[in-house]
Amino acid sequence: MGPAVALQQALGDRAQVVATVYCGDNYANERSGAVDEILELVAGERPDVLVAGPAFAAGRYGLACGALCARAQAELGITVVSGMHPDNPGAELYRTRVYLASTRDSAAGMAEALKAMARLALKLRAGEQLGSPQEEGYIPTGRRVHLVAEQSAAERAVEMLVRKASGQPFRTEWAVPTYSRVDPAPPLKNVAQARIALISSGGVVPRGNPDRLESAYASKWLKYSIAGLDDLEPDRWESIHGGFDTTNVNNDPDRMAPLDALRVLERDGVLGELHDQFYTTVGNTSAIPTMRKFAREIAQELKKSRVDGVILTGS
Amino acid sequence: MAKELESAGLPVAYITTLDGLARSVGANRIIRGQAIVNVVGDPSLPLADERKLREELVRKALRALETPVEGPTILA
Amino acid sequence: MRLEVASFAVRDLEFGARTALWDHTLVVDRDELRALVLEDSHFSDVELHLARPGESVRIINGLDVVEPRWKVAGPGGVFPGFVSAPTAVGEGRTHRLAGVAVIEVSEPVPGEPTHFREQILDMAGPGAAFSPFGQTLNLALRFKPAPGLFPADAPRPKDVLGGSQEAFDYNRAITRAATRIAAHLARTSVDRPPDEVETFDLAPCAPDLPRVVCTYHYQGPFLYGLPVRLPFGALVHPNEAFDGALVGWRQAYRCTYWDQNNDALLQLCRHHGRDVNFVGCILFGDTSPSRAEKERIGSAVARMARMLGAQAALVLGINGSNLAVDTMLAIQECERLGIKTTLIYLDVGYGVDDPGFIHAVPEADAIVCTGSRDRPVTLPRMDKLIGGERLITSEADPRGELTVPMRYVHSSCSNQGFSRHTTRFE
Repeated sequence: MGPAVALQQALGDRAQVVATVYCGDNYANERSGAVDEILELVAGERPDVLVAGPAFAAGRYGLACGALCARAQAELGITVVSGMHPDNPGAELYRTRVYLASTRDSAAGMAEALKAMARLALKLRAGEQLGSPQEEGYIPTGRRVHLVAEQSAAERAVEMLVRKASGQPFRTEWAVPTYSRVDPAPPLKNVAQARIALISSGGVVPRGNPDRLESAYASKWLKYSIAGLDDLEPDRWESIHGGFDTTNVNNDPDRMAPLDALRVLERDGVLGELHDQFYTTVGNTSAIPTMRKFAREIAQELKKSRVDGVILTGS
Repeated sequence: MAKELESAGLPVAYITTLDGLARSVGANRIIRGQAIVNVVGDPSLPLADERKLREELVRKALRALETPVEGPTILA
Repeated sequence: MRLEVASFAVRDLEFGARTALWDHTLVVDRDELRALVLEDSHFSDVELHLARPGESVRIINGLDVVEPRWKVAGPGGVFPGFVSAPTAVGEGRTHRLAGVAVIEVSEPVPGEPTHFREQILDMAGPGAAFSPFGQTLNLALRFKPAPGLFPADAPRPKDVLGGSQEAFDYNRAITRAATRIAAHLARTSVDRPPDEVETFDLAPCAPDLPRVVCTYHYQGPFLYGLPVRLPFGALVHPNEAFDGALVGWRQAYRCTYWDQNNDALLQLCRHHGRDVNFVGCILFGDTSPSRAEKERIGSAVARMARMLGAQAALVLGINGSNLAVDTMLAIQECERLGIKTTLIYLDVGYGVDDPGFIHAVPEADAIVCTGSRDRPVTLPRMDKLIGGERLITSEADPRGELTVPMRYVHSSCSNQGFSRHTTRFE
């Protein structure tokens, strides 16, 4: 029934479609317990593999496919595959947990989508190691797989260079990121009436580093009261950042966390009020998700303290 | 960090020496700092001049918070 | 410039009464080598240990590693600036004891930066597969500083990267001692027949082959014995590296052994005349605290490559610190000048969705990945411990099972091209 006919074709004689479950997108997304119901139907058939979709660019369909596959994989322990367009919100939510064939944005890509999903399903079921997302046609999962290659890095690099230099096709082992964008926060109407917080990733802490902030791979952020302070004095503050020569900052920590200047501007009425907590961490060799988490936690505190804007300094 | 804070609705003026890097990773309001080892300062200047320089950088950063931007922007 | 490198395959390493190479076995006279090291007043003592593949041995506090080499014909000698005069090398004939490594071991001295200094080498179990020196016959030299060199009340330096002059001098003395020992060991091969001879000679070749340069973001402290900063780069012939002109250690990221055997240079030499015209190696790199300094470096590298007429560049890059920007700017500038680049690069990310770059430019579209420095690896308990009783980063029993990031494993994160470890991004 439905796409299962073409799926069976794509699977050939290596697998057999035993049942098809179908329902409306709204039913799957809005009715509580819908996924439980579907999961029960799937479990009843005792399949080895669950193939869901393809959802193309349909958001609710994609979310339903992702949710069902994630649960079937975790609770039934079976092989799961879905397929959707990379911009489908289901991809953002589930691609790190479920292999999703990368499809076109509409059902015009049905045949190729089912082929890709069938190929992935058979490989995963057989326990074969998948190739790269480009080779296999799935949406990058963001996960790393550690391997030992046949050839040394230099051998592979020279080969790649010869291909690139002579105009032959070549394939990078590792694609440079295109970083996600965030919409800029709306500007402040008037800094002279705003509460501003100072944050630094330059490792500035009270001298002696009483809370043992790490100089690299920071595991935490810290906050210190700067109420009543006009200046970060070198005999009371220092930088423990491990990624640059800290001599200049240690001679005058305001060179990293410009408290003295902020106080002058506060007194002159250029800024309304400086928040009385200074937030600090070390941005050295840190994983991006960690720093993101720090910022999320700090943002929550700042919002509670009715802070309007942030001055962030880092090397 | 700058991006995460901005996505929480807080405008962030990010003072950094590696402004190109900041822009490529998507920080929205970027102020170019002096040097990695003294982002908001310059030990080669007399103290009073250095303070003035720092004040100027912070003023720029405060102005950046009032500046509407469309995406990653280096505000000098 | 023609260099013959004669390899003597060493299959066993033992202590004995007289230092000699005999039927593929290297015998080491402990007392003789100890006396050689103690000629230098920096040291109060040195312990010699053997660590061979398969033995339940863990070496901690490892520093640089050098390969025994000795020059038997041609100008100059091995390790110029340390063992021989700092004059041009890379010609004639050099002997190497293949399969042997001399490993420096020393606990950090006061004033020495301990960042990323933890270097662990297991000779058995999974750790042995993560380090290139898990598969070599190793002579470990554990150095002890002379009393009085580091008084207890000496001030701690604030600069966590450079450390104090005294600590630098002490570590340079270690380098000098290890290179002397390595040269001394290789002398044993002088009158013996080699197992293999490879000739390196970048002879003129067909004009239609692409002219290729190796641009090497260099973290080694020494070139011809001199601590160097290379904001404008330096041009070296691969044979100079093979003769030990590039010396020094930098945590898991580089060691001397893998410039004596730099795989990128070796491969380019072997491809020379076949499908590339290898024109030489540009070493570059410096601390670069400001954007202007980084731009200066990137531009200098590309300019030098262009003057060599390079059409392609194999880039040995640095990731994981602000120096990543310098590597990337060099690539960008080369590509802008029409020089095609391929990059050998270490993943410094961790966890799902971390792209693994400090900085990246779209021009870096051909990358070979040498694995992930923050990948956790578990090292099982070893019976014997060399190099002290304490780890730098942990209070844990240094003999016991340890789970550490890959970068604590000796020489596991090098950009010198030899590694077969890699990471695929799914």
